[in-house]
Amino acid sequence: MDTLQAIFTRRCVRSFTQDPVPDEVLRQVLEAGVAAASAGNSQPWGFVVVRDPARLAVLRALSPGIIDDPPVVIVVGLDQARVRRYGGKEGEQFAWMSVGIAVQNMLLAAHSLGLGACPVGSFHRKGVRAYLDFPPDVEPVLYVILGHPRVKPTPPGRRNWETVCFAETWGVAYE
Amino acid sequence: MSDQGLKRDLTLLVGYLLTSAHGLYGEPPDYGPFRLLDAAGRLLHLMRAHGLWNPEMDAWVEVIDRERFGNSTDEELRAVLDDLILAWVDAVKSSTSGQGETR
Repeated sequence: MDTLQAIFTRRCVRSFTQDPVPDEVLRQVLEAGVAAASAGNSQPWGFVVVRDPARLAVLRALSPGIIDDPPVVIVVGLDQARVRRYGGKEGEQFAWMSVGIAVQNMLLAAHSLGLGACPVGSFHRKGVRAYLDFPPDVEPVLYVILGHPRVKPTPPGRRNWETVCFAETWGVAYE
Repeated sequence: MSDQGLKRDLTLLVGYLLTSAHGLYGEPPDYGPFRLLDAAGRLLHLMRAHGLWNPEMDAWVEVIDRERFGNSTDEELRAVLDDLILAWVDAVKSSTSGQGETR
């Protein structure tokens, strides 16, 4: 699957089979996250991979945003020490942007490798941090849930091109 | 499944309910009914796993699971909930009919 095809055919998958995700496939997804662009090359992230069923059950209890039983959850940590190292008032915003880019890389990699994936933001941060033993300077901020899709989601709507793409100045139609 | 297994699964459900309650303060208002529907679905799956099951619950789970992954509007979900509640009432009435008839 080429890059553009992956971008245009990716969907958020929330329902999974219990087929395991092969180690080599998971590794490629993680490598895609690690390869992401980041502000000032700060790479302000860390990824905790949870696959043990008992631990996934606890994570699911702390995470209303996980609706089904994904076989893999990648918990993305935002490293505040790296954010401070980048510095500036916008450091935090740029760090979030960097995490977003890494997550999108992982979503696209997963899709191109035949998996389904979805970002999840609804979880109890303090609870997850305590359960996964995050160090003081790292905060869990997002998940990528991952597995073989049980259901192929229907494409969601998109805003009209004319309302979001402009030429030279906001509001001028892009022909 | 054992009592220990049931205790474990119910404890996990407690965690889910507490976490949902906490999270809803910062989430869109229409997440509330969805979280409760999801909790009902989790509880039903738990009941089935522990052999606490009646055949009519199969249909409930099918509907709830469809809604958990679907894109229903608020109005559509309310209608689904109405139907589920009526089905639940039927089940409760059936399970309690005959009780108290013998003294």
